[in-house]
Amino acid sequence: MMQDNSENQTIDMMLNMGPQHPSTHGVFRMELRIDGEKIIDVKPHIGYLHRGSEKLSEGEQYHQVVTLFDRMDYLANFNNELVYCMAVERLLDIVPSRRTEYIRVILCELNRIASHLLYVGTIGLDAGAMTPALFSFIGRDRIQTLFESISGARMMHNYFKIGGLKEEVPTNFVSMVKDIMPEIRQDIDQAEKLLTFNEIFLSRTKDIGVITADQAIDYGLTGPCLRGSGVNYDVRKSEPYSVYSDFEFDVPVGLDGDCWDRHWVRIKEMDESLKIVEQAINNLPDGDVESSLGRRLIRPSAGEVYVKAENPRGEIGVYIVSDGTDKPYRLKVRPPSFCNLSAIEPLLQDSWIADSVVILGSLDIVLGEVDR
Amino acid sequence: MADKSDCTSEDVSDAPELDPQISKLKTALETEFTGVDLLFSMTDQIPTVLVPTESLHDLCIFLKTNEDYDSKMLSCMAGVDYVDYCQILYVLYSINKNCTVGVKCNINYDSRVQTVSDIWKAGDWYEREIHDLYGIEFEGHGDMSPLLLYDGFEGYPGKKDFPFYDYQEY
Repeated sequence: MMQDNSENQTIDMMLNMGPQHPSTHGVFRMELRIDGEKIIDVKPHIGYLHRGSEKLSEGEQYHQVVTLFDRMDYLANFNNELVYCMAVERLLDIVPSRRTEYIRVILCELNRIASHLLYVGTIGLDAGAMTPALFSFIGRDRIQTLFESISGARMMHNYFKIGGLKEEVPTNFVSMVKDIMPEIRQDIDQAEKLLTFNEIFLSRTKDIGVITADQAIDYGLTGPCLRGSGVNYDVRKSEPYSVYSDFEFDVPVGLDGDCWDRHWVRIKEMDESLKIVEQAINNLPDGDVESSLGRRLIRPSAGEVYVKAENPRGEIGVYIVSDGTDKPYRLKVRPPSFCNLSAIEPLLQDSWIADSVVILGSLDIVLGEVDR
Repeated sequence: MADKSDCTSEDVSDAPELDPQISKLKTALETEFTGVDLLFSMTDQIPTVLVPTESLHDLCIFLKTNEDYDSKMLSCMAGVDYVDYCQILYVLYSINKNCTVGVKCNINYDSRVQTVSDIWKAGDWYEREIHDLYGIEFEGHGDMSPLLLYDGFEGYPGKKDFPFYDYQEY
């Protein structure tokens, strides 16, 4: 029977994406209200990986909390360990040795490259390209093998201690780093050649998922997501911590705030990180990496501290309230991915379903950090 | 530990070199908020003001629009349970001026506080998180559904009296 067309009308459909969706980068779920292929409205759901890390750390002694930080942003373990150690060091008013700081910076910047290389792989997969993932993992593996020889673990290193390092780096540390640097440079070039100016990739990312600078600041976006929108904000430059003021490097800044700009910023950031590693390894000071605290139990005096640092995903902040005991009274982490992800609603509105995957990939979230 | 405000005001006298930041904040705020009971202190290296709940919203708007502070970004919001009351720390940051300001607010568990999600969009998820963990109600916030916890979770796990280690889900 023929229906009268004038009575036909479209209704919006609810589409559930995640939590077990390969392109949601972990256990993230979003409820999409769609009209055909167009997204009308989006409701994000997080918390599937909520382990209560902040609450757990209230029951752990200060030196035990480092392991919990490893498991927040599990792609940038060293960076997370660094910010926690810096916070407790400021609470205790101690300064680690220069050699410690230099080794920390080298490892953090290598970790940044490893994290961004993984990003190149995943954004490629999100945009429909399989090859970059295979190649970028080769580069990531080189760095992880180096990490393994230093800390004994490929991830979750637990290598930074409050006031120092767990142990001295291997004797061939400098030559190992110098050996892999040209290889990593090649990996970065290859990633760039495969993806950045690829015509298909450009058409999938250019002018997609645009967020203006004002909007980005309003949502608290930081890191490559904010710099992609043309805001020059990098904690390493604005409030230099550790020994970052010793090194010369640039902060790449995008123009339009679309997916491609966020991608480009990350690619250029890897070059800058490599610059920092090069300067640090050439000027690596001699000395001790043992913490001045020895193996004593730490009891900082009552007080509060708020420390921030630049992680691969943006600004991480750690707020510790100490009540004079050996455990933190309250520990709060400001995770960069949490804020970056909160901007998903305006980003996805009025975009296509196929683009939603690329937009989410360009934010480069880690759910371990979002949910804590 | 019980009276946090006393503890932090002592810190100021311990660190006299940080006083200019406090006095700058003091002069900026006291002319605008006469008659409001403001308490200034340092949170680590951040000049902080403790503000009564009813003036919080106005003070946040002032700091966002003020030329000297220009706090366009809400960097962090942290709730701390001091058993009798909950303290919320707002870390405001200005990218143009490269300056950080802290705003603290003590809230009794039976009262409500006005939302800042209309001032900064970032406040939306932070407030939902604090509502999850501490049960603080934010007035004017449209959606207070659980963010980190699941629907139907009972209790507030951020609070000190939550039976964390005895907690059994099944």
